[in-house]
Amino acid sequence: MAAMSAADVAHLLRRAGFGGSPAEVAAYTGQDTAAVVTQVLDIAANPPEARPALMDQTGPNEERWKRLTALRGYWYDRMAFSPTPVVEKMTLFWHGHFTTSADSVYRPSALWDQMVLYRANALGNFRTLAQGMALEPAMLYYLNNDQNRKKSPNQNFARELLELFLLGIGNYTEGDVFGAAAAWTGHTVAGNYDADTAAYAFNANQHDTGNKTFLGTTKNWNGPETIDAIFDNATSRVVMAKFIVSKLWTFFATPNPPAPVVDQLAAAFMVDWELKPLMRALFLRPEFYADAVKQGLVRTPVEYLVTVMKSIGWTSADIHPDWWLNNMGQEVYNPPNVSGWRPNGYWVSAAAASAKASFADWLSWKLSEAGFLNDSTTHTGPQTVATALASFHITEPSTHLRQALEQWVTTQRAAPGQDWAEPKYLTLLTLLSPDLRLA
Amino acid sequence: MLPIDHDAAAALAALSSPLDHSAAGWTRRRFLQAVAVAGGSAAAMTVLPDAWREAWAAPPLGATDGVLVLIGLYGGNDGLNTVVPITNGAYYAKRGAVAIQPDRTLALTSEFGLHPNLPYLQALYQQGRVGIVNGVGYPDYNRSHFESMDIWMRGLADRNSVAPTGWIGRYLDGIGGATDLLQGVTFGESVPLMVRGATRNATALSDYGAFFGADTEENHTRAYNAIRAMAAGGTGRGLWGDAIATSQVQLLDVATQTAPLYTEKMPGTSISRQLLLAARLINANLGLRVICVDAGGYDNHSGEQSDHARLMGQLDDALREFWTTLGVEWANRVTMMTYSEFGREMRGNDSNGTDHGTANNVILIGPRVAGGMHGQLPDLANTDRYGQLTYTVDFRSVYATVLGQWLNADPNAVLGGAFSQLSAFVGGPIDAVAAAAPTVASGGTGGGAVPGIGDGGSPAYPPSDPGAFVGLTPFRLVDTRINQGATRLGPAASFSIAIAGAGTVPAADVVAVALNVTVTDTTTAGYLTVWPTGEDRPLASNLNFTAGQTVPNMVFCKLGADGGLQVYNSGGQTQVVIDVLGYFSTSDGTRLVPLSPARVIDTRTTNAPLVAGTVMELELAGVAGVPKEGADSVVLNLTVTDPTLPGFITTWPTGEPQPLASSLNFLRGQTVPNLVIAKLGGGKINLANHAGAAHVVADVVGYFATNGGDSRAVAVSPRRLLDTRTNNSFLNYDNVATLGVTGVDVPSDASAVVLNVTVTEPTTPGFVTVWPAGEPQPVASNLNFVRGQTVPNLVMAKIGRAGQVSLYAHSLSAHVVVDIVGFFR
Repeated sequence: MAAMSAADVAHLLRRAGFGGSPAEVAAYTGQDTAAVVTQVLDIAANPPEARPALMDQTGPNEERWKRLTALRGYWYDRMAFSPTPVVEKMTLFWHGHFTTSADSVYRPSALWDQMVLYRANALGNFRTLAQGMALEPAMLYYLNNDQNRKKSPNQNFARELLELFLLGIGNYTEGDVFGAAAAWTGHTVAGNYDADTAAYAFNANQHDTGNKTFLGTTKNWNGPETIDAIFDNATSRVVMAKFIVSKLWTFFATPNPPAPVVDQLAAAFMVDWELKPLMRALFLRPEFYADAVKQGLVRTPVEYLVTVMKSIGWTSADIHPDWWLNNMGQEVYNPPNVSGWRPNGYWVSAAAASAKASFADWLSWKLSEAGFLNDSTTHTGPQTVATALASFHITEPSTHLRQALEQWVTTQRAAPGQDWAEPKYLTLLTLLSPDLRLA
Repeated sequence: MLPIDHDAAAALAALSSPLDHSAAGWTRRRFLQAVAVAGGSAAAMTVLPDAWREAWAAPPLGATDGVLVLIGLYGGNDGLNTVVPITNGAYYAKRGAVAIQPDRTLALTSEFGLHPNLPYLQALYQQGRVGIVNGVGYPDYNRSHFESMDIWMRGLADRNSVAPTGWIGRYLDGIGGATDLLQGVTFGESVPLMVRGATRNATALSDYGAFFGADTEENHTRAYNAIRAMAAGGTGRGLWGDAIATSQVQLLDVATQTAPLYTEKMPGTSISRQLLLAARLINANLGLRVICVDAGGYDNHSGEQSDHARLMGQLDDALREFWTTLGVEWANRVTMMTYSEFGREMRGNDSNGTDHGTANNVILIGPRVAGGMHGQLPDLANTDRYGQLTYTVDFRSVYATVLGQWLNADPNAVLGGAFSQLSAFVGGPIDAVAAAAPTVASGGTGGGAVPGIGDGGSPAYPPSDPGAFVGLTPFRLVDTRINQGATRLGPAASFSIAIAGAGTVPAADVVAVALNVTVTDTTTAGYLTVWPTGEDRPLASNLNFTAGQTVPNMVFCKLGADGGLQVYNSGGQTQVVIDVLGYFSTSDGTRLVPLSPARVIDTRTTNAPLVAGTVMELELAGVAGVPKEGADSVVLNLTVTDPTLPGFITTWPTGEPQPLASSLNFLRGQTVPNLVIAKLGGGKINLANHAGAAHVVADVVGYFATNGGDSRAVAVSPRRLLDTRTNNSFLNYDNVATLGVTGVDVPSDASAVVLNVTVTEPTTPGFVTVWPAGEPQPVASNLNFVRGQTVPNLVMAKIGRAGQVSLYAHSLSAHVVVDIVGFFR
């Protein structure tokens, strides 16, 4: 592979994480792509989990709500400040894929446990992750498998396992759903709701031990065996590999992946279901660096906010993500439904612009108070614009954006007695630049 | 605005996500670009271009889509001191000094009185527009502001849920539509949980200023220009970069376009501002479904008598602000609902206040609400072991009712469970304009609010002599201000005056007279009655007035045997001016040809008001049904609006000198109607305005001609035909009263009827139109009024199908009194 351009490095760091500072981009620029991707995927420095103290308090709903906020803040901070942001980006992907909503799972500890599992396996083995996912109390609660009993099977989990998690709609039969639901009976949760303790439990009394048919085989299936079967079945494993690769490409590159890319990545993936080599291959595809891919993804609100946090070094405690993200339309542990979040157009509307503008107005005011960019008027227009853009890690601004901002500086400076306003409004405009909203 | 109660504010803040702190920030926001809101009506919002509406508003409301205005009374409103159980001994025993004594309350029912500072709400209640749901709460109550607000806002069957959505948010999720910005609106710096959905949120508008993008402060303006520049000509960042930049420009456009909602002169209290903006937003027809307003300060642990009274007064003012601003075409589409996180304890505490309670009332307000009491007052004598009331209606039942019966939503889906519904609506939202069409025939139900008086079959009208009309150049007969003809009338005083033989009126064969009577310099409210000499004073009024008013009205009066009439004043000291317009004679004269009303001039349409010093010539021969030849006089309903100075209008025959007489008098800014009989000169009349500039609207309702057939005037002693005040009803824009006028004293072959119509206690500005039953409702008005005004006018109306006339009052609600004073046959 050739030496990476600054633009390609910046693109990789935006997609594999939450953007790179000018220094980070400079450090990788000129290196061989394979070497850069190797470093980006080196997760040896991934920090250990540090369960927020508030998580271990018990109490009524009010406390539970505070614990949820703490749980969210912990993750946003990790996304912004982890030395291995690719782990957090992958974890965010899995959270949207094997999703869970706090709406249904009232137990912050269960959500914590699930997040820890996803993070630990984010770049590990997909088979391990899928099997672990199925037995997490958060998932058992969310898709009602805790109520899946032999005399009255609840198909919710079994259906989504096939439709949304592993195979995709159209790649299984109703009989498969029926069989899988029976196979998953009795896989439930033992726990104390009020104490917010929950653990996976197998209740043999509620498990259907009769014969069930799944993927064409009739036997006494047990739940986890159905996942194994999908991994082992010659047909379904191909379907699954392509399904997952397509979703990863949509999340990291752009929707509608080209078939050759999917086929080739899937063929390699299903050898051992290791995720890190898959992601390495994905980030090394020349298609990944095409203009259509570089321009093909909008930052989700969480990505946008985390990028800002990372840029200016403000934590969740400073920026109060929960104040803004709900209005922007995305909070972790609060997907719109079991299919997770959708890309691009989902995040572009006048209402979305309004939510971002409110945030930008607030933050630019707060930053201005804190002295951010306060020497801007001592620099030339182009210099001060470049500084502002770099402050938010917009290392490759479009010419159009630069010119619009430089023109604004000229107009602003022509207004008598308004120098004091320049830092605030320059920050505001940078926060609202399309370049910062693009992934 | 966040409520000021510390605890409740903290709870609301915790349940909300702040949106916009800049308003309180370091640059002063200025919200200019105000557009005059003419009469507080929908007119101002026509500045919104349709194209913008289509692009950025929610899908337009269908004729049956309802709008819900939620009024949060945060802190826990004292429902028992809002709707006071005036016969409940337990209430008075436990409340002690905090209780409101029965004689201080405003009358509602035999069991309930309203807080003394809620007179407007009382008026709405009496009009059947207020449904009070008593005893609303939920099981296993929680008396923490946070917990209880949380439960109310989520509104889920499973109260343990920590779902990040509220009941209105979930409703918004389900209504679809491409654009999400303006389906739900809340005011303030945060979006409360209640209006947050999984895929949609309400948009938070400031109650001072518009969206990001509407500030006219220079630094903001330059920044907006830069945001537009980012989008201009493409971003160079591809499709999505362009889409993002464009969406921001669209936001600026929305903000600019909604800026006219914010005028410089906004009411003082937050709740008034919010409700005023709410009405303007609805008037703007942006597709809004739900608007949330909030008022704080209801956590009255101490000093409740004064604090709560102040809040009640502010709420009442705000309600009036809303309903008088709301366009009439919208009122039947709007329901209001109040709620609090809880009520107050029964027991008054030692600080002259009340502590957090449980069950409370919810008040529903709107024309489609089933007025009256709903639910059941909790047993105040038997509180639970903590001294708390036990709810009788689950709050989710109220939600289910509003969702199912008003918002046309699936309550089970929104609430996550089934709840019984109340009978709190008379029906769903209706299109007021369509409903106002004069489709009501005799016996129809759409006009059911006011029963018409049917045709009695055998007319037994008194033997009055019919007279033919002789129009005169008006002359002044009485002016008590200069002791001409009579002196100022004191309270309950009357005078007599001879008509036959006075001025240009002949001494013989005169049976009735047409006068223009004006009262002025009035010192108290009252009314004037004009009736024939030699008869007992009837229960009828020719004009009504309040202190300081100048009110004109045409009077059509039978003369007594001696050719005279009497004038009675019920008010204080009252100056009276009488001009004679014409008389009805048995020996000669012209005959009336009644017409369906037709507008012949409206200077508002050309924006050319009648200015003092100029004379307007109005050609009427050959116009609006008046023949080119043969017409002697025309009968006009003349209305003046927007006069810049106090003054009067004179009408007289073209070609003759301008007489000292007035057809109608007015004060600055008033809208005043009057029926006018104007003699034609060469087929024309002249109109002159005494001072300033005033817009003039005239509707022709008939003419007198020598070849007009046998339609001669018969004056009857005034008789009351309709009084909505006495039958506990009212008129509004969803019903048309059909009044049977024949029978009793009007024969079935009468061609026209002369009525004195008075509107009183209108809750919104509007007008009255009277026209022949069975004919399309004309664009005409017999009288116009503003909120609260009492306005009389003589009305001459052709009699339509089945001896009936139709009467329509264009208002949210108005009392109407109709006296019959004569007819033509």
